[in-house]
Amino acid sequence: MGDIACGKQHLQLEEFAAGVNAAWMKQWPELGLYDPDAVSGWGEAFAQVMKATVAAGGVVHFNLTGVDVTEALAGNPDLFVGRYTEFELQQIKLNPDWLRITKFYLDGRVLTDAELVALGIVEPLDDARDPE
Amino acid sequence: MGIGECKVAQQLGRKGYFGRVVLEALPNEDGEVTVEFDKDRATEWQSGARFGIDYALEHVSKRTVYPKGLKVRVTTIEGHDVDTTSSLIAYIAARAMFQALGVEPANEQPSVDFEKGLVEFAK
Repeated sequence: MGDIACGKQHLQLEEFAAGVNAAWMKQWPELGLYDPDAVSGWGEAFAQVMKATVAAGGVVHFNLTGVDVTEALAGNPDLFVGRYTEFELQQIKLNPDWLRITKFYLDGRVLTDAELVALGIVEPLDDARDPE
Repeated sequence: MGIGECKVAQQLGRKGYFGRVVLEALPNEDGEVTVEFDKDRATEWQSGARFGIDYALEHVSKRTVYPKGLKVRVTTIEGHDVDTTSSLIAYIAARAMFQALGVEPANEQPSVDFEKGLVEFAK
């Protein structure tokens, strides 16, 4: 199992993770995805987890249930305390390698590219043609 | 007596500190002091919370503040796997306990040095 699950912990994240056969945050230290003794805050820990997941060829299953995406993306991307899931969403959006391996879910289904663009998580494809 | 609530959400650079404790203090007619934890919302960091509550109770006058005993119900403990420690929860619970009792401690309150990551409890 190289996949991980993100989302609001109090909104059945553990069950969501089990449903997509992924590890949720309580399992990450024992899987060696981050070292609790070697990080001073969640920002470092989450970066370690994402790098390890990319290296393992894993997928990030991100449950957006309970997340105000607009507000999350408007927040300070360096601030993680008290806004953990929102911080994780922002970090994934800001890192193309992390975004590439992430599937986003809402109401139990995977969101389409068009829905991700509408939410502001993915930038729209630039299909403008050079005027000749 | 009443409800006490304290929350810490502090970030200094890469260091994070997070925790929240809500508790309720009620008279206990049998003279005993009891502490209960909500089975759903106060399941982690109980030892830290218990230390903070005991610390607070040691630093107020039982005779004047809770002469008939005390029933403490910890209704919520929130934390995070990396940014929460038992010592931080102890600090938060102590402050929540003082608030629930409606008293200021005789000595210095517990404190946190966020720069150094130190939680201090005065004797």
